[in-house]
Amino acid sequence: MVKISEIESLYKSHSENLEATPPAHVWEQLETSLNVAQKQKKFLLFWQIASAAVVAALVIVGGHYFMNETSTSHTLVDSTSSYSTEKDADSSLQHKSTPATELQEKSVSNESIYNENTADVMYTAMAVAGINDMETADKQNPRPVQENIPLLKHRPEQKFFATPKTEVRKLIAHSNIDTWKDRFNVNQSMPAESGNRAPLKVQVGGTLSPTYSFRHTSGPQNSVMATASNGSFDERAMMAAGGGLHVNVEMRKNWSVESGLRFARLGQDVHTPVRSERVYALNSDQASYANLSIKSLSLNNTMGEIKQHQPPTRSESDNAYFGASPGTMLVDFRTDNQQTSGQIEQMIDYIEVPVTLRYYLINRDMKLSLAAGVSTNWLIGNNAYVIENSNRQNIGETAGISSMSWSSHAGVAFSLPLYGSFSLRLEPRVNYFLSDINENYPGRFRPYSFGIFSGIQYTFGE
Amino acid sequence: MFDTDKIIELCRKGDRSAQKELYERFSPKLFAVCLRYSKNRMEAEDYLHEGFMKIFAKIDQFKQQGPLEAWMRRIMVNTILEAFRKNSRMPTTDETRIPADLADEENEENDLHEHTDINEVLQLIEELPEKYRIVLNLYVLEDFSHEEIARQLGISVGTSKSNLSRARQWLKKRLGKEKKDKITQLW
Repeated sequence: MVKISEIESLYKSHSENLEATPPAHVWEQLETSLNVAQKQKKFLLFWQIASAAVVAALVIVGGHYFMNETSTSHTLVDSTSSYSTEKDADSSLQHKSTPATELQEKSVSNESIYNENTADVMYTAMAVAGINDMETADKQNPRPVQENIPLLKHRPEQKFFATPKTEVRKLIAHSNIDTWKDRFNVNQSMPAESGNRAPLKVQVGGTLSPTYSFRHTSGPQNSVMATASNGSFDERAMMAAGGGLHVNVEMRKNWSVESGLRFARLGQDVHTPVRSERVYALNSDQASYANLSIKSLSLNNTMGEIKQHQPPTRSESDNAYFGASPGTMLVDFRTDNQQTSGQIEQMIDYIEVPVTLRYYLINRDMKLSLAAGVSTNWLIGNNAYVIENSNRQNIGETAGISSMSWSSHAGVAFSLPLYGSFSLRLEPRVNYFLSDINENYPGRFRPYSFGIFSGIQYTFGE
Repeated sequence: MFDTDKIIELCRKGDRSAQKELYERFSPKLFAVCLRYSKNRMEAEDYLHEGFMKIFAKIDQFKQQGPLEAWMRRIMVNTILEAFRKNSRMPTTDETRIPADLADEENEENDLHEHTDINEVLQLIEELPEKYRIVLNLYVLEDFSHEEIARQLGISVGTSKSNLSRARQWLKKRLGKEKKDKITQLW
């Protein structure tokens, strides 16, 4: 007699050595999947590098802006007057040979130029202003001058690095230049402040939009129709949503460059007939019936063929099947057919990295700009859903979708000031793919989308 | 032709030829595993595909402390069980209807012939209802405990035990019947 445990041991020892050669196409599919996974890994790496680059760029741009901002109060006059201070100071100092030379010598050799001899510092200022013969007067009565220049206080942290020229700049920076001009009739041949490089303006913001997405098709359509098991289908546009973050840098007057990261969902709705088949089988063993429900619909269209996650499954009454003995006689068989309409949603999701050139037609508080550019689109999602009787089921993905594609975009943006540096941006924009999205069907399916992207942005550098 | 260590090393670097070599060496055994848990060959092919994707993705985690085949087999089985969980193909049985005499059946002798044909056993196991076959395979072939089966399939320990008992009862009944049919044929 044999125990069931011995049967199980027999089953185990036999199974351990059991082999079954899989069909060749399994490796081919596996290789394709490995290629896709490898590309996605590269994309992930690119994504990390791109994110780091964007952050670094923001830090640099922000740092540059804030450095400009903080140094403006000290260097605004300083920089504008540098032409005259250096040139005029030099020439004036040469004309006024004795005091200027003395001053230079003092300033280089004497560390305590500020606190020990304020009048000498004043000479420099006077020399810059082109004043002659002030030496005696100022030496005799230095106090009032010192009172008029209250910022000329002891600054020990700067004295080691102080040179006559920088001191001149500081003097002028901390003085009322208009008063100097009026009082001393200084010839201000220096460039006007407005002629300097404008402060860098950077807009950072986010926009969102509902998007209308469809496709341009080309190439042989008949082959698609022939492979569709149910003969015909109707492809329609899809409504989705998109949006993202942008960084816009105004490079020159009326021109700016913009980049960022956007999410874009594209695809189509496919209306296709669904053939429902119901099979009833009655067996004699347990006087029960099996009930098979089979539904079939076309999974091939212009966008590509939908690859299912799982092979087609059937619903069945397992009591009838599992309870029946092998070889049970079939005593009755009946089939019902009916045709209904089903809907397939094919969606592909991208992360888009755009580079946009923008030209401002109006560049005041309210802005109006034209924009155009190209984007790299990195595939992050690929799903196909079947919608039937209000039930939505994810059935798989469209096969052969490229992990990276190129697209172009163009738009018109309106920007309205809101509060402070915040503004509202509204931009109708079209997006058209330049490269094939399906590697299996080159040129057959090129998506395009349209959206009115609106959002808030903040301007640095105003 | 590389040795296994070299293949693993190259697979870690994503070398496609090494991955193919690994696949060709182990896919026959792993496909047999997949077939045991599948309704049909197509489903088994999908499991094999998914399983190997995971094997290649996780090859870095293989510490070479045990046989590679056992590690790969474990990943393959986990992949299959994950698919069961996703598709709600959990084996369920109403525990309240378990016959009382099923508990001690492991020690119960069966009136099976001494020379039971393995092909008959395999045939019958293949015909087992899925919910019984999965638990039987995990318990017998993968050496899973009932606690582990329950955790992996998201069922109770009681359900696991009852499904195993029913599988054994089902097998005994069929094996006995096969034997009687053979005797009838001899007459």
